[in-house]
Amino acid sequence: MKRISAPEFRGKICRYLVFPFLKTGAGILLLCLSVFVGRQSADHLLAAEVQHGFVHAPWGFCPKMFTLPALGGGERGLPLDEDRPVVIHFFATWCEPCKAEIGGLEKFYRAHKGKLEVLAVSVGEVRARVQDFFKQTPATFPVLLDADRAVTKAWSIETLPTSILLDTKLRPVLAATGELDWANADNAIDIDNALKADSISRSAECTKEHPQ
Amino acid sequence: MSLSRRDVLKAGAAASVVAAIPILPVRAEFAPQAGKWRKFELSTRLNIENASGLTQAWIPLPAFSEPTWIKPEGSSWRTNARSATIVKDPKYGAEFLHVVWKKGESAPAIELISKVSAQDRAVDLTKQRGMQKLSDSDHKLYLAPTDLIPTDGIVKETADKITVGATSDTDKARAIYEWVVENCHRDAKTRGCGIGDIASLLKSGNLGGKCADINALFVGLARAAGLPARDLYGLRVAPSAFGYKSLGAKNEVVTKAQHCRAEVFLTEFGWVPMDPADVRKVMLEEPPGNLSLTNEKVVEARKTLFGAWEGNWLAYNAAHDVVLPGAIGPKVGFLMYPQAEVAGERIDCLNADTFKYVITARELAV
Repeated sequence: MKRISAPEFRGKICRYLVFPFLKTGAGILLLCLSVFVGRQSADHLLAAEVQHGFVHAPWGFCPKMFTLPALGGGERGLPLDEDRPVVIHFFATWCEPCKAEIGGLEKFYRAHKGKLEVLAVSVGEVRARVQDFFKQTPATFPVLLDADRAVTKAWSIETLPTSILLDTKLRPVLAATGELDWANADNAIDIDNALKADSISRSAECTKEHPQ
Repeated sequence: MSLSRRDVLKAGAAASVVAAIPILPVRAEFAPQAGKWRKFELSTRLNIENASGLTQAWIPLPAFSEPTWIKPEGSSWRTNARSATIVKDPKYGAEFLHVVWKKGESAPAIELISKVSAQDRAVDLTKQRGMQKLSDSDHKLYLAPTDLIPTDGIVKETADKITVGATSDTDKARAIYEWVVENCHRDAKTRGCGIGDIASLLKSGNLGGKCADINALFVGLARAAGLPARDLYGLRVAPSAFGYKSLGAKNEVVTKAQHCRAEVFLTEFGWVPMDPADVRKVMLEEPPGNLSLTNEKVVEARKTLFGAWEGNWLAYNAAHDVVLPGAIGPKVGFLMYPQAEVAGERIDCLNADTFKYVITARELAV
């Protein structure tokens, strides 16, 4: 599965953002300032790994199928009843970026209803707490309860929120860790392109199982 | 000696000036010292509303025992339950009361009374005590990862970067403590004491939370650096004797006064108390609030809470990933709040509207 390499990513940033900006003196000044601030925060936080936006899914294996209790009753999971792309969104109600993202995800879901599914997986929380949260922040996509984190562990999810887009064959094609702006047109284009590219270039079924 | 009228007037004026100077409360130096045991009685009253089907509860008992600073003195209870049994977690020895009401009991209730003695702790880090030994089983237990405290991946990478150049256990612990104090922050919006999912915390780059997050991060980093460490989950039961409003119970009702502390085992000193989370609490909450790292109260708390803490707090246990016998729901990351299930559904232990319990603490004469 193709991933954007770090040099390729830096090249794109420089070509489209940095070089035009450097044409002004203010640009140079602000760039120096941002490099300094970035260096300071990197020194302090050491290891922040969140990227904001989709990258090609880093998995070289097929995701594990699962069934979980749904907040509204019954059970849901993978595979879906119909062959559709699906976003699996891992979140928790205690996680501030997760809370901020749910509203945007709901709008995205409504805009793509019938073409793409969303399954939100609540990580490590009891039904009552998740229910209270969705009373305040209503959503129409299915919310599944991974109370013992078994699915979260099986999928090697280490950051909340994390969103993974699976194509119709349930192969991971894009992933985002950290808060994602679901209204951002670039993300929508990424999703469209990824699904098109994968449907053309990859006909094979998933065969390689997750190592866990 | 005779006094002239002028001398008398002068003296009177001086006395008036002295009387007019407002007397500022003098805060005692934050220097907890062992030597004075205090005894507390805890009462936990739990009432479950709208019960149906089978109702069960699991209530932590203040059973952590360490003869130098905390001595549990037993618990008793009154309840309309079918059974109430003290259960000991097989891995960590955490004790809790498992209460089961008969099906259809409409108003499940229990009042649990526990007594505990505690005193201040302070380890003199200038005087090494010779080689301290931890049993093999405890050494293994307190270096091991838990569900929410992994010791590999980003935790190990972070611990390695923090402790680079540190050679002794104490130097490593000091480096981790200072890093946690400087890089974490207390987030008032965090529910309860936080979750303690430290890999997620580090990966997110937002090191905000409360004691169960911040002190769990300290413990995880210490374990990843090869230092046995543990979280102690407990409760504040009395105001601070050192003038810190943020570091004590405000009154006898301590329902929301849960607090988790940490210990690290240093070969030079044995178990040493640590509380970096409380340094950040002082910064956020100590009047007038939002104090800087250079504020006098913060500097003092930061210095003291590496090696000492006040005996106005009691420990329930040092357990993680606690399996609740008979429960339908999952194990809990830590057991500091009462837990309950009604008709197979776990109640949200942090939702006061649906899970009503009151914990009070009072000091008894010794």
